[in-house]
Amino acid sequence: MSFHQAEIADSSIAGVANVLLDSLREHTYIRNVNQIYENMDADPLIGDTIGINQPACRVELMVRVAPHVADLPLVRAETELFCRDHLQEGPEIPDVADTTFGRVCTFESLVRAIADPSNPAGLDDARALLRDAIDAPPSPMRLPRQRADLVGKNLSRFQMWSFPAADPANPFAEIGPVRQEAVDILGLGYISPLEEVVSLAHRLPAETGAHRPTAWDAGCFNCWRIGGRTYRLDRDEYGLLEVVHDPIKGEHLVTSIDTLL
Amino acid sequence: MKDPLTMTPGELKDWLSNRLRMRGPASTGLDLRGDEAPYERPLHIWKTAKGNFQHEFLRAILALVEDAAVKAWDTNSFDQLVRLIEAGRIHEATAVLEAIAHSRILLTFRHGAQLRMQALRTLLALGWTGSLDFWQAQAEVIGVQWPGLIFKGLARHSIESAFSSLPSLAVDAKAMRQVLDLFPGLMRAQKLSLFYLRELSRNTVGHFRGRQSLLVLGKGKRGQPFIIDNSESQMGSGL
Repeated sequence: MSFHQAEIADSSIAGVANVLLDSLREHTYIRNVNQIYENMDADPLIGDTIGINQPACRVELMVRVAPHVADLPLVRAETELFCRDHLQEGPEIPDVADTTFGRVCTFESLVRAIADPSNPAGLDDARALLRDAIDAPPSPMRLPRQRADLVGKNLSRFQMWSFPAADPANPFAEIGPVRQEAVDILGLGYISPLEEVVSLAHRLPAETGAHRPTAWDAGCFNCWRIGGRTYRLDRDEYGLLEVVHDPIKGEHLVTSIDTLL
Repeated sequence: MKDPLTMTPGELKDWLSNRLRMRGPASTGLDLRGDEAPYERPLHIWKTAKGNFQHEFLRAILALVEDAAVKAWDTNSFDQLVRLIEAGRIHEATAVLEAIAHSRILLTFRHGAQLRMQALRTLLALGWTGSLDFWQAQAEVIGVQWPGLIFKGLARHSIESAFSSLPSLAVDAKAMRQVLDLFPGLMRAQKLSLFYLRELSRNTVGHFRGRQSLLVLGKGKRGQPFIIDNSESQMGSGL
């Protein structure tokens, strides 16, 4: 049931679909200015009605934003907040215990994750710790050292986006060692050339599951596409399978954190 | 929704408070996928602010710190506020944070010890030193959970004092790890040589009589342990 079909079924949300379309339009995203709306409108993982163990349905979003239709920026804000309330509601990926997941992120995002509310380390301390861990020379002890240095520390503040590695022995074979190719194939959006980008691979702790992302997980990120795979930034092609899961800690690393050049 | 640059002082303070606490529309526009922290946009605003707006923005930040001393913030939100101050090098906040540190008001709140740790951590980041007596007194207040902070505060005065306190601060492996995590930053900030740190560590080792297991952090490639003073094995934390 699309947004427009939901309006037909429920007169209390009449007109909300067009308001959503207008509020989510991004004129600077020239590939498709209505990409975010279309993601939410067409995602097959999002059902028609409220259901147990189902992602929130479109009607729920429309009911939430309906009181604010006169204020487009507020409609968009409420949409973002709605998405934030409905993370990791897609199908759970089975048998992830032995799966190696790869991730690419910025160095500074790792610093901020390490410098969490319970950490007495300042931002410069966290930066120095991570810098030393990444700059350690290649050796069989590099990964154990990084694990020891980052034990107990979250490697993300919010839910993590990762890809299941096709070859656990070489988890980055599909994205390659080059920074821009990795960013492109994973559809990470614009990252300043001045930002250091790193790769890491991990396994999930026993109590953590992984889910196929829905349009609610993607929120207002216009580089995302429905279908369970990343979408390349540089051409119209899908990339790798992708999942979302809770943050993991340093002890869950299975490869060392390395800078992509 | 208004642009912060066009807000009244009251609106700006409310926006900042809600942003840092991840509440309502003020907390949107966050790049969750890129793991953006709530304080980052306010930080960008601080760095680019000019003239009267900069003055009003500073007043809003300081007012929020004063508010947090009267009615407790949760530890996640207060952390965002003080990380903004730290990342923005907002030295104007030193006086109000110092007053909070000396008053012990935060300790009367739920999770007060953690709030206090966050305030003291920020003071150190702003270059404040406190006194040796102050840091030694903190050991009793927050030293059990955050020995690393006490060590860093002592080291600001005298690295030798910090190391001599290590046996009483590092009561278990977790405490020792917290202290060791600070070594890479300490080496850079105080320009300490690896040789000097090793000497200090060696001198301290003897005081861990009966607790040598704290010194073993892992195993090297030939089964050698990672320990503080083993010059032939690799150490944790970049040593």
